[in-house]
Amino acid sequence: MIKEDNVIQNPKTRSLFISVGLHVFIIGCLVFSFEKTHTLMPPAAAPETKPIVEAVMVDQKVLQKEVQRLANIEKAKKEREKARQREILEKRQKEEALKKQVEEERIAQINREKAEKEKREKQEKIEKAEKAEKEKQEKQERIEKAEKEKREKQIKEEALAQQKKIEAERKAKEAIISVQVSNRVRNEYQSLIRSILHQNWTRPTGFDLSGLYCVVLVDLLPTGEVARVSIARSSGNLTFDRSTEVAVYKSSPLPMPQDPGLAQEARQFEFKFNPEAV
Amino acid sequence: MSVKRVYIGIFFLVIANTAWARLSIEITDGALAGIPIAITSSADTQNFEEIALVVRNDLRMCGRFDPLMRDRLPQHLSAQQEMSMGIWQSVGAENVVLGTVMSTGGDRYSVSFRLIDVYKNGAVLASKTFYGIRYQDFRALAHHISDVVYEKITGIKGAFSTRIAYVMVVKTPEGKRYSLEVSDADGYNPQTLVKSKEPIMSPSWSPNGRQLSFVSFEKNRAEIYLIDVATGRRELLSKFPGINGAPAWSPDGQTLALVLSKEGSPKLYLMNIRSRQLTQITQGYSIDTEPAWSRDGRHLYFTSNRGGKPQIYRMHLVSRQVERITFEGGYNARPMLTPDGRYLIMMHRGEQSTGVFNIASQDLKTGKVSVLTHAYLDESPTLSPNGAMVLYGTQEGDRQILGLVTLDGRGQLKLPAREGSVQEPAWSPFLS
Repeated sequence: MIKEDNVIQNPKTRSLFISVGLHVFIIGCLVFSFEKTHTLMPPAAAPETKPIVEAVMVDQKVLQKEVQRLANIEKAKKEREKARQREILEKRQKEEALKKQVEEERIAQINREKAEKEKREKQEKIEKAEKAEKEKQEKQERIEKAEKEKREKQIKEEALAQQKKIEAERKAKEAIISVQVSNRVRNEYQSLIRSILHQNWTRPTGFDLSGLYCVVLVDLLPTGEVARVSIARSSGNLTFDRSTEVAVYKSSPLPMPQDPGLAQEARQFEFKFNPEAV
Repeated sequence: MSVKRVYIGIFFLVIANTAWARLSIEITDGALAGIPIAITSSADTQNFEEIALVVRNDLRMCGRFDPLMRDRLPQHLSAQQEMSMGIWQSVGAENVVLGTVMSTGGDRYSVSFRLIDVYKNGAVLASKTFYGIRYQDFRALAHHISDVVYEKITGIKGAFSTRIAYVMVVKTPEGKRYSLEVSDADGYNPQTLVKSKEPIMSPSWSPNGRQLSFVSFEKNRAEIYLIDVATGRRELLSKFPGINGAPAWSPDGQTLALVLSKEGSPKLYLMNIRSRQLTQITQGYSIDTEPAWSRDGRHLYFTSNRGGKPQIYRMHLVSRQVERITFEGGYNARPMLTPDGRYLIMMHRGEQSTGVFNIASQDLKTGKVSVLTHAYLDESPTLSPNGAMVLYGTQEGDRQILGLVTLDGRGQLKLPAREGSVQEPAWSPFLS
């Protein structure tokens, strides 16, 4: 017999209807033939004859019909079975598909999670890097700021020192000017002394003078007489050095300047005998 | 804060010290002149004048001194007066030589002198007395006194007691007569060593001053001889075919550099004087001649036309490498080195002047060339052994005489002219 599942599913109900329908249709077709021949009613045939004989002779048609009916039932059964099998197959397929789906979903989920994790990690890394970068930048900015502040401070200090220096210089200059004479007077005196030395210096001959020079320090008495002569830097040539010393002695006594301040200065001279200076 | 205080402190120090700063002046000019020196008899004698004359002459010749003429000197000074520096300053003397000569009998004298520094308060720089001097030695003694004065004042060894060798050429009706002579550095006391009817050339002193090498054409061919100056004894050194010329002694006296043309063109050779072994040191087709040794004996300077015109080259004797030394002028020859190795003295013709030869010096460090003489045919330069003076041959009229010049181009003097032409001078080394 056909096992009826407890689970009534639409497809099943539907197939049931279809099979019933089919039965009905087929039976209907059998019953109502579509032949064109009318069956003429016999004219008054014995209307009701008693069913006299239960005709042993079954109507072929009815037999066929029965056979057909059974066949159909069998067929229907088979078809139902088939359908059922199909259903089961389908169901299994569906289950497998479902399982696969679930599995895929699971894998997908894992992958998603993995991806997400990687993404997160990457993100973290980036963020970390950005953070480090940012920190570095901030540090750099701090350093620059500190340096800038330091420089500014330095500049301020220098400016201040410079100011003080200028102030001190100004004060010193004022003091100097009040003590010393003007440059013009000093220059005139120096020219006078220079010309006296020029007259008295005998530049030595007999050897190559090129490149020779010497520096002579002279101390004078207040009267202008030469008190002391010493060679601060020798020319390397004895004759040359001697000639410069003699020049100084020959010039003694040197004229002393009127101005007391300059006279104080003129107590000590430094002569550079340098024939090659232009 | 403290830095500012330091600034202020420094500035007040500067103000305070201004009073003690020296006035600084640069002196760039002065009259060019020799050192004025008075040489005269001391108060208690008159005989010194003969010696004084020679000393004055020596010191004038060397170009560094300006000896005061006798008539400008104060006469008849007392012993006290002559030590008063004011008197000497008033006549312009910076140094004074006061000398005395005293007869000690039998043609012997004692001679003494003092050298005084006028501007150092009469400080005595030198004081010497010589005993047992014969009259004929006065000249030599005077030269010695000149040496002492020169050395004390300049710091350089004096060369007044040295000699010169030269060739004297006299025209006679029979033709020219040549003689090799040696005299005092000032030209006095000439002594003839060799006489010849044929040319004599290129005398050169041995380092000990006892021998001369020279070239003689007496045999009508060039030959190089050595001659002992005191005895006149000669020996033949070289008589190869062709030129035998320009002998020059090495500073250690072992080797003679000479020029031979036996292989073709004149080339330089070295000859060991003892063994007479000969080595050729220059090669090629050019003319190489007039070798001159450096003081340390490591280099040989010579004249060569290997570059086209005569120029002076230098060979490093160990490596035999040759480099050119003169680049200025179209003709440079007759090299001679100063003892300190600083200057090359040479016969020089400038780029512009054609046919005019002068004596020039080249600073070997800077390459700067200074022309020292200014006649038109100055040649054969020879240096005094202290490197201070150059003796050379120059024209005067129709004959040749010797001129003297210092390395600054001043002090140009001519030696006493005698009969005949004097040429190819060679200055002796210091003589002991």
